[in-house]
Amino acid sequence: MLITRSVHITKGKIVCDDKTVFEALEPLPFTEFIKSAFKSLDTAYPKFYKMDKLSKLAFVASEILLKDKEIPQKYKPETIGLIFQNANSTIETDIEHQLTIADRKNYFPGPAIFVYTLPNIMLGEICIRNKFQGENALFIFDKFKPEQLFAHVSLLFQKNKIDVCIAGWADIVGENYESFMMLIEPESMLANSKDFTTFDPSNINILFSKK
Amino acid sequence: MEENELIDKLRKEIIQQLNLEDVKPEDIDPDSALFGEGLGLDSIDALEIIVLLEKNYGIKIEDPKQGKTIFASIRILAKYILANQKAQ
Repeated sequence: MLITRSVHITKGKIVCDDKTVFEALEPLPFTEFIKSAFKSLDTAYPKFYKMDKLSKLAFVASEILLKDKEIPQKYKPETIGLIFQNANSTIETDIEHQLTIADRKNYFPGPAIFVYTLPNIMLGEICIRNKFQGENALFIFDKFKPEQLFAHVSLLFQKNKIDVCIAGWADIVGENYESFMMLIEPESMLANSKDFTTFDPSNINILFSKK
Repeated sequence: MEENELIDKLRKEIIQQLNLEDVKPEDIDPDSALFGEGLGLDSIDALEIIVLLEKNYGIKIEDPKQGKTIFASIRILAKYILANQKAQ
């Protein structure tokens, strides 16, 4: 398997395959940064504005990762997998939800907040957007674990559960945010396979470490 | 509160509550369908409007199925609020 594209979002910058594709002109809070990044994509998708911070982070990364790759045209929806990791689950949204239920006299839990108190919802948002229906899973670890990601994704390929995979990391706590996403495809589907990076733990680590 | 005044208030509240980015109050036709087309609202938005009614107007909708009728348009929603606030 080969990594045919990677995207990294952190500290006000979005890098795709070593190329900076978006950078905030000045330091911006995450909510402003991610909104600016989304608007720069010129994508008509109003649902973006309703997502929580974690989903917005993952969604923008996925839009850049998948742009012009024609994944839905190349692969069947049920063979397109998403395997992610993160460290802090949906802590930002959990806190927001808790604030709506803290006061018993002013107890108005918001459904639009509550639905995002599960971290795998970010995978769902990407699947809904792209009509993907394949295997998906999210693992929570203290830090990014390339070996685990490699082992899990490789097993899914070996068992013919997936033909292509979007895999990586998306995590946010306060103003500390990071998303790293890779598109992993089999060599047999690529005409120019020499242009891409082999999918293995060492290469994943190298790509992830580039900021 | 008059019906038209309430319609203007509801348009602003719905935009804020449902995070309708780039939608201005005047973009929402008070007689157009709230759901289905136009604003692209979904079932979670319907639940948010139910919460909005309870929080801002003290109106509790016990059966979410009622929403289909009450949320047909902003004008119908405004009429429902005025009728039910008077009834309370």
